[in-house]
Amino acid sequence: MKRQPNGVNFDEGLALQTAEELSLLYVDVRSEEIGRLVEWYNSEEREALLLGGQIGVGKSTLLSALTVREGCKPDVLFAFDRETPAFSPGGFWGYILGRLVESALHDAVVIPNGFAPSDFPEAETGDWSFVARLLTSFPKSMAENDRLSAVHSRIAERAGLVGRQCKAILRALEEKSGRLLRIFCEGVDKFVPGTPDMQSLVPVLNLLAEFKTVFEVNVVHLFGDEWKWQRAPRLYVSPFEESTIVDLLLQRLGVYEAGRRDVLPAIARFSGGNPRQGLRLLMAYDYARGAKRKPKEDALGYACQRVRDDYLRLSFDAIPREILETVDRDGFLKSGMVVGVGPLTPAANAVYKNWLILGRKPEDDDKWPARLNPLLKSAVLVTDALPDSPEMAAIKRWAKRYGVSPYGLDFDASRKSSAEVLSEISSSFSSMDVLNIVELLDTVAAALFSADRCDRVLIAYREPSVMEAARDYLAGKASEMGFWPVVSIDLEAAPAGEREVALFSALSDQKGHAIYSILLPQPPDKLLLGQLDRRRDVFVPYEMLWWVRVEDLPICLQEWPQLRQLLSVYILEDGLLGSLKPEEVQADLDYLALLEKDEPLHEAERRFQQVLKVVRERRGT
Amino acid sequence: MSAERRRTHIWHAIIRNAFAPSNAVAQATWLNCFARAIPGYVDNPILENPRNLHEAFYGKVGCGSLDFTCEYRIQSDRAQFDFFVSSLSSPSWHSQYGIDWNVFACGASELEVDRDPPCQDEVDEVLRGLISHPRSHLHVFSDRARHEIRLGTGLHAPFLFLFQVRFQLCIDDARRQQEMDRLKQVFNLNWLTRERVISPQTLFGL
Repeated sequence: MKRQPNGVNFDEGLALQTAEELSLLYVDVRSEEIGRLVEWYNSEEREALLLGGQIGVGKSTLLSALTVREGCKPDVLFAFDRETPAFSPGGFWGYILGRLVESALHDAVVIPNGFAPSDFPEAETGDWSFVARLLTSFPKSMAENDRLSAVHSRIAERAGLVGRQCKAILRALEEKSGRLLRIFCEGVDKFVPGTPDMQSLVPVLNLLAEFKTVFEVNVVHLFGDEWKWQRAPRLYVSPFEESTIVDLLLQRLGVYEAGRRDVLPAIARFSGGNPRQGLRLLMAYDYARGAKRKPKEDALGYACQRVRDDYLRLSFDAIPREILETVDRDGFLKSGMVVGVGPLTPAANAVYKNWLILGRKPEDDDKWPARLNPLLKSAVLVTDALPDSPEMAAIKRWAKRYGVSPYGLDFDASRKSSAEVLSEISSSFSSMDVLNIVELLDTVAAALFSADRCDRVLIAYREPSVMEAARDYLAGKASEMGFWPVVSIDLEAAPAGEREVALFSALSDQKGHAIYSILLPQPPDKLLLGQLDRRRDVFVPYEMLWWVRVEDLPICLQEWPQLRQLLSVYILEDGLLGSLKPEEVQADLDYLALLEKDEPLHEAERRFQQVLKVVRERRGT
Repeated sequence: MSAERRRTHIWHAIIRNAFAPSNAVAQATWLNCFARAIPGYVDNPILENPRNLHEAFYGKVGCGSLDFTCEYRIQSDRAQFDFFVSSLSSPSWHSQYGIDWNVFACGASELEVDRDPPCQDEVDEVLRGLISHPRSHLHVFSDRARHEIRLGTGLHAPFLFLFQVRFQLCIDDARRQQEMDRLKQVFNLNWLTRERVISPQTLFGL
C-alpha cells in the first residue's frame, strides 16, 4: 500500500508490513512483547510459541516489526489463511508439503521418501517444483480445482505418510543449516476452535509444534490445552493504553492533525484500546466532519454508530446478555467460562467477536480483566470519565443529549444501568445507514477514488433493479476517473461448490487498478461465507464492492467476524427516483460526449446510458 | 524592459497556454484531467466529477481532513466557487484576508509585450504568485497550522483559480514542493520561448 510520509494514512486497520510503513506509522510501545519474541527467536531451544490477541489488536503488525525492524526473518513461513488452496485435511497437509519442498529445493536438500512427483499425475514434467507450485497456489480454473481436489483426497488418505515426510524435510533442512529452523505460522487466528476447518488444521499444527514455531492465534486459542500445539508457551498481545491510541491516530493524520486533535481522547476511549477500532472510528469521524459537514458532537455519534454497525452489529437474539452483564459488573472474565471442548462457549464467542475486550494478562490466570466493548455501552457511561476540557465537555453534552445515540435508540440512557441499556439494545430496531445511490457514492468515494487505498464495501439491497442501477452508476463514476476496469463477478452464476474458486480465479489484476463488484449468491451458504471469512487477508490488495440481499445481510455479518473487520456496511435505499434525476444523468452523459474517449470513458458512457434508461423507465418518460 | 513587465508577460503566457481552454471540448478535457489528478495529490479527497448542464460545467472538490469543500460552476459568462468549511460551527473559526506585497501579481490585462529574455527565477516567481502564494489571498482556517492555505483572490481565470484551489488543498510541504518543481519543469524557459499550448495531461502530470 502506498503511504504518504507527511499526509493522511487511512486504511481499514491493515497490518503494517513494509519498512516504510513501520517507520512512518508504527507506535513503538510493545518493547516487552518484541523483547520476548526476539529472545525466543535467538534462543536455540526447540520451543514453540503462541502469539495471541484479539482481532485488530496488532498481532500481525507485531510479527512484521519482528521481521522487518528486528531482522528476525523466518526460515519457513506458512500463511494458512491466505495461501492454503483448500481448508481440508488434504489441503493443509498438501500446503505445508508444498512449502517445505520449496525450501528443500532452495537449500538443495534431498527430499526424503514419501510422496514423489510420480504420485501427482498432474505434474506433467514430474518435477518437484511443479508439485510445490500446485500445492501452494489457488486453482485458476474449475478444471484445475478438480485436479487439485483429487490430489488433496490422495494426500488425506495418506496423511500419516505426508506428516512423516514433512517432519523429515524439516529435520533435513535443520541438519543442512546446522541450527534450528525458525518457523512462522500466520493466520491461525482465523480458524475458530471447534470448527471443521480447525479440526483439519490441528494435526498440521501439532507437527509444527515439535519444531521452533511461532503461531499467530486469537486470544481464544490461548485458553485451554486440548491440543498439543496449544500447550506451547504463550505471549499475549493486550490492548493499547488510550494515550497510545491517541499517538497512533496522530501519526495517521500526519500534518492534518490540527483539526482532529481535540476529539482524539474521546475516540481513544471508544476504541477500547483496539487500534483497528480506533482507526476506523477516526476515519468515520473524519468523513462525518469533512464530507458530511456534521458538527463535532454529531460526527462522533455518527462514527460510533458506523463502527458499531460494521464490527459489532449483533444478532440480538444471540447476545450472551448474562455474560456481558456479569463482566460489566465484575470487571473480569473467569477463564473457565472461555475454556471448552468443541465449539466456542458463549463467553469465548463474545471474546472472539470483540464484544468483550480482555485487558492485560493477569497473574491469576483464572480471572482475566475484561470489559464490554465501549461501543456496546451507554455513551454517557463511556464518556463520564473523560478529562475536563471544552472539547470533552461538548462530547459529554452529546452523550447526555443522546444517551446511547450511536445505537439509534430513542430512550435516555443516562438514568439507566448498563444491564437496562443492553436489554433495550437487544429489543431495538437496527439503525444501520440506509443510503440512496448518490449518498452511497458520496460515502464510498473516498475509498473508491483513492490512489492509495484499497477498501471493501458491503452493500445490502432489496430491489435488484436498484442494485443494478447502483452498480452501473458507481462503475460509471469510477471509470470516468480512470479507475478501471470494474470487474463484475456473479457468484450466483457459479455452481455451489465452485464459487470460491470462481471468485479467486477472477481476482487477476496485479496492478491494483481494478474494482471488483461481487454479487453474492441468494442466499449465500454458510460454508462459502465461512471460507471467505478465513480468506479475509487475501482480499487486502483489492478494491471491492460486495452486494448482498438485505435478508441475507444478518447471516453474512454473523459468519464474517473476521471479514467484516475489513468491510464498511451500507444498506441501499429501495427507491431510485428520489436520488437520481434523468437530467443529472444526462448531464453526466453530456459532459462525456465532449471528451475524446479512452476505454474507461467508453465504459463510463455505457454505464450511464444504462442508468439513464432505468431511471427513465421508472419515471415513465 | 522592467522586471515587472517581463513577469507580466510570463503571467499572461502561462494563463493563455495552460488555463484558458478555448471551447467546450477543451474545457471538458481540462476538467476531466483536473478530476483525475485529485486523488494522487490531495489527501482524503472529496470529489464529484464534472457534469455539463445547460452549457455550464459544475463539480465538487475538497479535502475531508481539512473540512473543506469547493463547489464550482463554470460557464461562458460567469464562474462561481462556493466554499464549505465545517469548522464554521466552531466559535474559534474566522477567515483572514491577506496581502503580501513581496509576491508578484499583475492586473487583468497584459501590458505591452517586450521580448527581453526572462530568467527562470522570474518564471518561478510568477508561478508562486499564480499558484502557491498569490499576493491577495484568503485564509479560511483559524488554526496556526492551516495558515499556509491561501485562496488567491486576485486571479481572474476560472481554470487557474480551480488549479490554485487544488494546490492549496494539500498542506504537505514536501508534496507541494514536488508539485511546484514539476510545474517549473512544465513552464520552463524553453517553453516560454515558443509559448506552445500546454495540454491538460501535461499540466496535471497524467
